[in-house]
Amino acid sequence: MNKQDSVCITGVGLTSSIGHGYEEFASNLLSGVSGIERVSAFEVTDHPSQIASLIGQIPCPEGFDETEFRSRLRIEQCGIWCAESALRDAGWQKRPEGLRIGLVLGLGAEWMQSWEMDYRRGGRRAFDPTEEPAGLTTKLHRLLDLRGPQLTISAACASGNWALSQGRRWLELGWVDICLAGACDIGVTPLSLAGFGNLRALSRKNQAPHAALRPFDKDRDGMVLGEGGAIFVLEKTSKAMERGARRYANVSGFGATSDAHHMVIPCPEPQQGIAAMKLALADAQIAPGDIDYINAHATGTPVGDICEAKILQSVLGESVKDVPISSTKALTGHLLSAAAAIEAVACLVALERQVTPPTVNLEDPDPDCAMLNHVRNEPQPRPVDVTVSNSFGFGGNNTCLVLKKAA
Amino acid sequence: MPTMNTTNRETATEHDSLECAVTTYATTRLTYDSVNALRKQSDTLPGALGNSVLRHCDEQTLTALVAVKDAISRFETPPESFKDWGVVFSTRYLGRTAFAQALNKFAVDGPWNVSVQVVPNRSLHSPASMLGLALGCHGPCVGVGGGLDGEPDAWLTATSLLDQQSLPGLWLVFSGWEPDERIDIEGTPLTDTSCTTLVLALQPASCANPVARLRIVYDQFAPVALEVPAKVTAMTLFENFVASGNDQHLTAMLGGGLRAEMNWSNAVTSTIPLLRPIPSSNIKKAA
Repeated sequence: MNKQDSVCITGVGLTSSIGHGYEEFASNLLSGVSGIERVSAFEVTDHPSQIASLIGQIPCPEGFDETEFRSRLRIEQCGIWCAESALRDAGWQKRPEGLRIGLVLGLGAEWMQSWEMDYRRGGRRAFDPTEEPAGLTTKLHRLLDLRGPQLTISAACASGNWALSQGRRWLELGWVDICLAGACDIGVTPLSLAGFGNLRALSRKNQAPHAALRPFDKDRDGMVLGEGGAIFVLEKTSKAMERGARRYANVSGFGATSDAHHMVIPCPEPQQGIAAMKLALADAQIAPGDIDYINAHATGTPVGDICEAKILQSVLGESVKDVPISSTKALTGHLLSAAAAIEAVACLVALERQVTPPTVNLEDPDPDCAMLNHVRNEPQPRPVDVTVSNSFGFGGNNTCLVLKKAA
Repeated sequence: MPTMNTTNRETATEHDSLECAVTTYATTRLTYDSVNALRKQSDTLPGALGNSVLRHCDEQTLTALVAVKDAISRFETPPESFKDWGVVFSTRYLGRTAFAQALNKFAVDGPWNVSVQVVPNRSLHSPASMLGLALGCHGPCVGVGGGLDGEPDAWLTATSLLDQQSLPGLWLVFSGWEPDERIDIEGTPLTDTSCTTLVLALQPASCANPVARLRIVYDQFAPVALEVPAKVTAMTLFENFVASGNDQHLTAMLGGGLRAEMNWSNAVTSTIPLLRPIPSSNIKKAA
C-alpha cells in the first residue's frame, strides 16, 4: 500500500478518568495526573481492592436529549459519547447521504455488565432473556444511522488493538469510506471488582490510590481496574488529505498471536508475544531501531510485567537500551477491553506533542525489568515518529499496534 | 463462483471480495444435562484439558469442543496440526448461568465468595481462547458478536483474517442456547433448552477439495441495516438449509452492503436469507 492509500486517524473521542476529550487527556497524561481513587459508587469495605480509576459522569453529546441519554446504561453512554465526539472531531458531524461508515467496537463483557447493572436497578434480564435488547454495537449503529458493516470483537484486554486493525482492513477492502473503531469498558462493578480482587490480580494498596499501580516497579502488587473508552475515526489518507482533515497518525502495523497456554496466566515462554510484535513491525515495515516510543501493556502484576520485559528485550535486541518505554496504566488504571484503545490515544499524544509519556510510580525498577529504557515519572521531550503499543489479554491474547506520524 | 440470478445481483457493483474454502464442518445440539456431563469427560474431548479446567468452562464452549471433535473426524485431508490456526467464535449471551449464580452468591455472601473463574471463562473472548488452548492454536483467537445479532460479525472477521494474516486455517464457530435460557436464581433452567454449535473449518481459497466455498462481497443493493434475527441459532438455520435438499447455495446478508455466499455444490438453485433487511422506518424506533 502506498503512502497515499494508508489508513489514518482523523478523529478521536474518549472518556477516561483523566479526561473526556483528547486535549484534557493529553494535558493530564503529561502532567502525571492520576485518575485512581477510592470507589464510592458502591460499598467496597469488604472488597480486597477498594480503588479504581473512575470516569464519573459521562458528558452528553451536543444535540442529544440529556434525560434520554442519562436513562441509558453507562456502557451505552460511553459508546455514544466516544463515537459521536470522534465523528465531530473528524469533521463528520454532518454526513453526506450514502457515506458508508463502518463500526468496530471492542467489548469484552458487555452482557455480564449490562445484566449486573440491570440487576442493581431491580431488573431480571440476567435470569429471563425475553426482553433482551440489541447489543451496544447494533444500538450505536442505528442511533448514528451508520451505513457500513458493524462488528463487536473481543480479545480481552487486547480488544482495542483488534478493533483498529479490523477497521483498517475494511478500509483497505473498500467496504467502507470511513470506519469508527475503538473499545469501551465500564468494568468497575461490584462483581468484577470482587472477581479480579479474589484472583489477586488487583493492587491492595487501598490507602494510597495514586501510588497503587506501579508498572515495572519492585513494589508492584497488581493492577487497578479502570473504566472508559476511546473510539477513532479511520479514513484513507488520500481522502483525508483531499478534505483537509487533521491526521493524528497512520495505523501502520498490527500483529496478533495466541499463547494456547492458560486462560489467565501469561505464558512463561514469551515466543508468542515476541511473534505478535514481530508481525506488527513487519506489517509496518519498520525495524526495532525505528521505534521512538513503546506503550507497554504492563499492568503492574508481578508476573505479567516480567513476561513483557522479556518480550521487549527479545524483539528490540540492542535497541532495548534506547527505545523509550512506559506504561500509562499507572495514571488511567487498566481499562480491560478498552485498555488498548486508550493507550492508542497515549501514542497519538506522543506523536503530536513530540514527547514520551512516563510511567509514574516507577521508583525502584524490578531488576528483571531493569534492562528496559524506562520513561520514569516525568515525560521526556524527543522526536517521535513511530510508536508501538502492546496489549496482551486473558486467554493468552497477544497484540501489537504500530502508529506512525502522518507525514 | 456461479452468478446469481436476481435482478439486484446482476447489476450489483462488486468491490473487493474475500473468498475461502470450507474444508469440514459439524453441528452439535446438547441438552443442559448432557452438556454439563462433559465436565467430567475431558479425555473424550480435544486437547484433554482436564476435568478441573472443563469444570469452569461455559456450556457453549463445551458444546463447541464436541462439535470440533466431530468436524476434525470429517476432514478429507486433515492438517498435520492446528498450531498456526486461529479461532473466531460467535456466542450468544455467554455465561448467563454462571453469572446468575455469581449475582446470587454476591448478594448472600458478599465479595469474598465471588468466583475468580467467571470473568476468565465467561467473557466474549473466552470460548475462542479455550478452543485455541485445546487445539494448540497460536493464531489469533477472538470472540465476536455476543447477542442475537452477532453472527454476521463472525463471517466478516473470519474471512478477513484468513485473507490478511496468511493463516493456514481458521475455526469459525457459532453457538447459542435454543431457546435462550430462562433460569432461576441458582442458574437452573426453567424450561427445556439445548446448547447448539455450528463449526466450520475455513482454509485459503486455493485449498483442494473443499466441501464448500465461501465468498464475502460488497453489493450496493444489499441491505445496510439488519433485522435482529429470529431466536433460532445459526445451527438450526444451517440444518434447515442442509435439509432443503437440492438448494445448495446459501446467501447471508451481513449488513453494511455486504453479503456472504456459500456454495455447497455446483448447483445454484436458490438463496436462503439468514437475515432480512430491516425497514428503515423501524431503525430509529429500535435504537
